[in-house]
Amino acid sequence: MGLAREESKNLGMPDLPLAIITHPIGGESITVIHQRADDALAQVIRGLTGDAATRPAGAASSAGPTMNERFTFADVDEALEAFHARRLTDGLPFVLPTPERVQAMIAGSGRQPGEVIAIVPPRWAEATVENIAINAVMAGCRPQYMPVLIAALEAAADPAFGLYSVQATTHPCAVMMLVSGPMAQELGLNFRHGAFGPGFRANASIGRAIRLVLVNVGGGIPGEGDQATHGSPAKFSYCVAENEVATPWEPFRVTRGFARSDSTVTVFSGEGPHNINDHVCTSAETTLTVVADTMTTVGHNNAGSVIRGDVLVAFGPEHAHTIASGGMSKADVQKFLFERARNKIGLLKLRAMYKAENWPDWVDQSDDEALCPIVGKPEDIHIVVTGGPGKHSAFIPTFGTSKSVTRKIQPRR
Amino acid sequence: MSGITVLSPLGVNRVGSQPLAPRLRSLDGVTLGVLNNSKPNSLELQRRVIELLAKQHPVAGSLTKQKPSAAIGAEGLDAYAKEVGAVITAISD
Repeated sequence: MGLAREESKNLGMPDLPLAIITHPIGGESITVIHQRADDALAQVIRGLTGDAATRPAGAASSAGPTMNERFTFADVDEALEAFHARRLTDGLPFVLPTPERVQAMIAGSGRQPGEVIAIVPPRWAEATVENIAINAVMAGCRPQYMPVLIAALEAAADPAFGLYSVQATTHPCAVMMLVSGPMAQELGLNFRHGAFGPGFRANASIGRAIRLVLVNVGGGIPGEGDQATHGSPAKFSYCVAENEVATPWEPFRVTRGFARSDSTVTVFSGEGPHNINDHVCTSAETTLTVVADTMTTVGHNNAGSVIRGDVLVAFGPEHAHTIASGGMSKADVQKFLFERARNKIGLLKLRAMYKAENWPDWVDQSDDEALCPIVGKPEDIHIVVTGGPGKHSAFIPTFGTSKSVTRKIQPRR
Repeated sequence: MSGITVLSPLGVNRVGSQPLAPRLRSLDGVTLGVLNNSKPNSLELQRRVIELLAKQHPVAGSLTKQKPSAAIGAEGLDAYAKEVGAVITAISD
């Protein structure tokens, strides 16, 4: 209810009639559902026939400040505590965004501070270069990271990504960033040991800055604009880079249609990475069979949700070379996984989200033994190589109805 | 005043105020729209609401429009709005 009311306000309709239905709805018997409807009927009638005023268009909404406000505090400690108390942080220590630091961060973009990069839901507020810079300072970024942040937010704002749903859902997805290209090395992004983990300023602070923009500009505050049941550690920071040195295939950005000389950032609505451990397989087929088996766990949103979703398989270099040495291209891997990573209709019918998505016509839902893929086509299984030595890869399921989006990182103007 | 000055990390919402459709004087003779988002049990909930409304008011009927997913925006809403007198959409989660 809090999100619905806040959202109606953010979209300029604070008086939109809402009916409160007792939670939960999914997984309940038809008797319970009918009782829920009975209990809500009076509210529905009031909403349809009540006297909610028709309000004139054009008045300004009040979801945020009308300009980038400045606060003055007695000292650093008071400022830090005030930010935490106002829920303007991710809960961790942060760098105070003083005007001097923000100015230096803006200079790293080479852009005008007032340039609007994205409108960020569910608050539907503008992320200007200055807003991004302020949050980047808080996250501990260096000014040269700004082009990555700007490209990532442009990508996340693409309607195909579905940022509103990614922000507001009960699902634990985070905005995962994958950087591909020469800028990864130039900025010091780690792509070897611990590629998804801590220890590297560029990965950690770029991922954290995007999270702070989603919280502070977008209103993705847990329990408010972010309704995630559990959330995820990935929501603190989630930025990984391609290990182009070790990949046996073409770089990720080239597969996505960009030039080898470009640098790109791709956003996925990713769960945290699910490990794929295989120390035994010596062939492409057996290795990929283990990968496919990991991808078919039925609790993730892509299983049984095959309309629009993407998934990501992040191969460790050793697995990638085992597969490539068998002669398989990236497209071959996608095709293999598309055909093998499938679940029986009868099993998917047990899932709570059964009937929540429209499956393709070619999946025979009347046959419990028929197999349903986890994505709509092979190309929706994205392949990248990252990480260091070791017999591990990772599978990143997504929110399901969200497409990954790639943007070229424009160098500082 | 001495001390430390910092900038707010918040953004600005520039969405203007939007008018609501006028409320209905009565549900009598109205075709009720059911905009469903495919969440489990949501359609059952909405159908029950329509059933109960129809018992209390001589509505003209109902017209259901189903989104393929809760996470995807509905298409063709302008045309849909011309076919119904009111819309009940649901649910969150």
